[in-house]
Amino acid sequence: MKILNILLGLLLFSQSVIAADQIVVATADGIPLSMPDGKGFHDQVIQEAFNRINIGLQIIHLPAERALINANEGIEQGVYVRVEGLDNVYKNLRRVPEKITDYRFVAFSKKKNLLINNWDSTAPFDVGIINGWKILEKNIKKYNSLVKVSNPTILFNILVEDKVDLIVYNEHDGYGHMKENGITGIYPIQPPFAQKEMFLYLHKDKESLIPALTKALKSIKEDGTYEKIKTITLSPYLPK
Amino acid sequence: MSLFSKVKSRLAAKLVFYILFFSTIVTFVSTGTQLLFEYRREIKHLNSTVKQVKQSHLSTIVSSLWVYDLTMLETELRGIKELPDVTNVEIIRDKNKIVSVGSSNGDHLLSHDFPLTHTHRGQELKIGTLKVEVSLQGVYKRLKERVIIILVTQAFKTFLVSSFTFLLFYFLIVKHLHTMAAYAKSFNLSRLEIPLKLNRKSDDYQTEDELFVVEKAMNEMRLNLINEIDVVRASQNALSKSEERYRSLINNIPGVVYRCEPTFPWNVDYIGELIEDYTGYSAEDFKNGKILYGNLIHPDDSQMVDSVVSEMVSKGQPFEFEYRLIHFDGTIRWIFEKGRAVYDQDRIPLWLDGVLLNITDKKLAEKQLEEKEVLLKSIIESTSDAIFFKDVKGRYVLANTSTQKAIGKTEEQIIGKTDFDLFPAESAKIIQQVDSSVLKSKKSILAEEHLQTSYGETFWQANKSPLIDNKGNLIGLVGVSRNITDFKNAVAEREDLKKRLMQAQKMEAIGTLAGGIAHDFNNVLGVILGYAEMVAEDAPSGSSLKKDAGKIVIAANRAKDLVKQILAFSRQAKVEKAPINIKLLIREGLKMLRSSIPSTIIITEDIDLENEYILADPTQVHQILMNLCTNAYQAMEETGGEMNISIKSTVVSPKQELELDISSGNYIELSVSDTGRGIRPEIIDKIFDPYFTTKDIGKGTGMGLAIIHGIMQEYGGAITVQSELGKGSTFHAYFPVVAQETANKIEKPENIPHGKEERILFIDDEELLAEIGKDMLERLGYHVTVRRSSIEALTTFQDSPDKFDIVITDQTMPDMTGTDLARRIMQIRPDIPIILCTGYSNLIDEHSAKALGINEFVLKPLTKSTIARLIRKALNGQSESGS
Repeated sequence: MKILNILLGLLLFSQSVIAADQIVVATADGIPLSMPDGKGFHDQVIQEAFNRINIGLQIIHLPAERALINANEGIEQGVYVRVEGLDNVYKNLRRVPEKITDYRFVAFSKKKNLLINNWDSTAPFDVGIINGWKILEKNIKKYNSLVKVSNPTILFNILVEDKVDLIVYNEHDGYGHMKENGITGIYPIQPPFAQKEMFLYLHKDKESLIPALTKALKSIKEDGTYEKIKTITLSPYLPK
Repeated sequence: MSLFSKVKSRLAAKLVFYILFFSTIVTFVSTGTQLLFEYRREIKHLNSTVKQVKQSHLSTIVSSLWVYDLTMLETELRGIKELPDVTNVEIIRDKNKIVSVGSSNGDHLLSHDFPLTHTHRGQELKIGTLKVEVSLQGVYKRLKERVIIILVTQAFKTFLVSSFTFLLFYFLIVKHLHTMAAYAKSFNLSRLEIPLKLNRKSDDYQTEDELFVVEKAMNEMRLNLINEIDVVRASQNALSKSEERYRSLINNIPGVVYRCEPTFPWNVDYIGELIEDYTGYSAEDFKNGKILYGNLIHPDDSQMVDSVVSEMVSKGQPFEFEYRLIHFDGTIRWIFEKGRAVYDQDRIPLWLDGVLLNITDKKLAEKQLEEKEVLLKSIIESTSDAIFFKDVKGRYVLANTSTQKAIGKTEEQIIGKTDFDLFPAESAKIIQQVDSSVLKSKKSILAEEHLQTSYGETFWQANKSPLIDNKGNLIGLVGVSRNITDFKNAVAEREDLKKRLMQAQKMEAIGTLAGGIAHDFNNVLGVILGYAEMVAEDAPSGSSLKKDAGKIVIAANRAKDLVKQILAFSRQAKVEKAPINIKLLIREGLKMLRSSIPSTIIITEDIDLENEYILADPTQVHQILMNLCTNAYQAMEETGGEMNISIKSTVVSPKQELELDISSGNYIELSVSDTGRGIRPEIIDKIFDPYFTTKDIGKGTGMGLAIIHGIMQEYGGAITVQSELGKGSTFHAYFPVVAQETANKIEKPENIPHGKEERILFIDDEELLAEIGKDMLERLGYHVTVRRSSIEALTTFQDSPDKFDIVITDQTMPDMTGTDLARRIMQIRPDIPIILCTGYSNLIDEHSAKALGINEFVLKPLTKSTIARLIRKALNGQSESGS
């Protein structure tokens, strides 16, 4: 019994030690950038970075706005990947300056030959976006009609069902979603009319980790780990 | 009385009011109770609504809020908003509104907050708050509708109860009260016999209720009144008679009797009815204090009235005075008031008793009389006639301003004095004679009085009348005298003018006569002059025949000038001035004079002059000399004496300019003096006036010196006279000297121009003149065709107009005048030169002749030199340098 108590005590101690070195980070990314099992492209880059500074990482998936709200309130200690400047809105968030990736915003349409090369190109079309994507809500001002939906599934459905002419979405997320759901006949319109650097944000309580994480991210990119993860995680989803 | 009007009566109104008041209170209390229960039920219902929100919507809202599906959240909130009385639903996080539906405007809101929690990673998180606001407005609205229903039904119920109660009250009580009131209202002495009878059922009388008692009491009162009324009526009759006597007495007094308080504004206790005539306000207005008598007194008199009344009242004496009242219509009434104070035992004044009399008419008459007197005085004083009044002894009682001016003394100095005190004795006698006649005859007399007054010697037209008083006694005379001196002078002047006019007409007749004979005389002279010239021309040089013929020519020329002068005097001929040697002219004149002046007159001459020239007409200078010398001779005609004629150069200095009325410079002074009787100083200024003469009738026209004066003025010269009575007179004539070179130029001898055998048609009806004309012209070198008839001349010219170079024609001819002939000839040949000759004509002169197109005009008699120059001038068209 004593031994059992000692073992139980050690277990609790070890868990508390682990808890002290572990950080919970939320993400709203979808396949193939983030996967439920944490094997997505962004998951693995973040995971590798935290590994290199010896901090445990738990990834949870939350809706996009909820992820930001929770991180800002400290319920989770971080959120990825988000555009630059959110720390102006969410005052408790601090951005890790080394970018995780670039988001390429492209229009998906059933028509291959649409001429979309800047934000104003959407003016003659019925457009669909996901509610809460700040960059899209901010920049898409010219359209025939604008439909905001709550998730990618609905987004691609309204395009498939011809309720809109085009949808604007992250290129990689779009590939992943079409792959996962077996959607065909939808084409990305190249080139992307916008590209945004995407970052990891930490709650201000974890601000001290930022220099080390920055350094770790740079080293990942420099030693080829980054490209290796990218190739492994994204290549299955890219169009043949 | 209708039922409605009875409802309005006081008692019924009170009854209805109280019924309504009580019913209303009951209604409000019962309604309030009902509302309280309704309110509690509604609040309970609201709480159940809120509970429903919590049970049905809260979990869905938490899920949507966790995934931050704002669309879903809004849908949820809209569902809640649809619940009854929910006005606003919103989700709040960190005080920020995430989603809201509805608005929280308005009052009476109940707010419910529901915390929204979500379990995340084993931890319960508060992710927001649901706020639900429920409005009580709906509750209140429903309650309000309920209140209206309750109140309307209650009011209707109350109305029915009130109406029933009122009708009951009316038929049992009010109806009889009205009967009693109507009886009492119509109750008078003539209806005393009629008893009060209420309209009730006979059963009601058996009960002897309150109405029965009242009816019975009123009828007993009526019977008592009948008994008392007879006594009162007898007393009233006696009092009425007494008052009537008193009123009649007061109102028949010719004035207004009054009694008033003893101090201003004298509040009236009693005043006669006639005061309305005086003031326009009734006696009642004064008695009841509506009008205060003192306020009607004219402001200018008010203080006087007050002070007199106060003084007399304090002395215990009666007062009387006159003053003005302002009538209601704004006009003024004059009042005479007499009165005195009534005192109590302590000599304190209680009242003023008195009488007012309207004396306005009397005052107006006085004022009119006064104005009439002022007007009369004004008339007397403003007239320019002397108006006066004397008593029977001739003493002035009244003398107006014009009288004072005429006498030259003030009114104080005149009144009480006689005319002998005020006028020279001679004038006073004249006045007294007229005055005595008036007083004696007692009749008006219009007389002319020649008096010595302050204005000098004057003439007066006096209208004097006796003045009789109303008893028929003579008390004096009144006179109105008008100064007619100017009128008299004007009459005299008019007479003088009349004489002058007659003289002028006489002179004009002489002039006309002279003009008439001038023609014939000139023709005679023409013959004499023509032949004398030809004789002188033919006679051997130096022979006595040539000299005698020359003297005939000179004398004939002088005669010609005299005719010209006669014509000039009668303004029928033009006077022409020329530079002349005055020394020679005077000497020539003196030669002629000496032969006509008797030897009793010694003529001396003093000529101190070189060859000076003056610009003048020789005949006029001759006339001046003759006239002055004739005057001098006539001045010494009876006594004899010495006549001196002197002529000299003199210089008029600037100082003498004003005295002589001529410009300064060189003059020839001709002086004629005599040692005769001289000229009186008082007439010396008039001697140059036309028609002024001191000579006997037939010896002078009065024009001689006037003509000389006119001639000298025309020459730019002057004539003056110096005379001493009894010693003689000297006349000085100043002639301006003409420049020497001008005189030389004019005086330069000129050769008589001769013809070059030009052909002349000469027309004159006088045989001698025709012949002499022909001889004269042929001697001058012309071919002359003579015609003695204008008709013949015209025929000759018509036959061969180019046969003549010039036509010379007489003006006065039978059949056709010279001007008519000239006009006809010019119609035949417009370029033919024509010379017109005339002895005298009042129809044509040089100006009018030239206006007809006649080249030259010449007065007869014709001299050789004159006609020679005119022919050349007409033929050559040259301008004549002088004639």
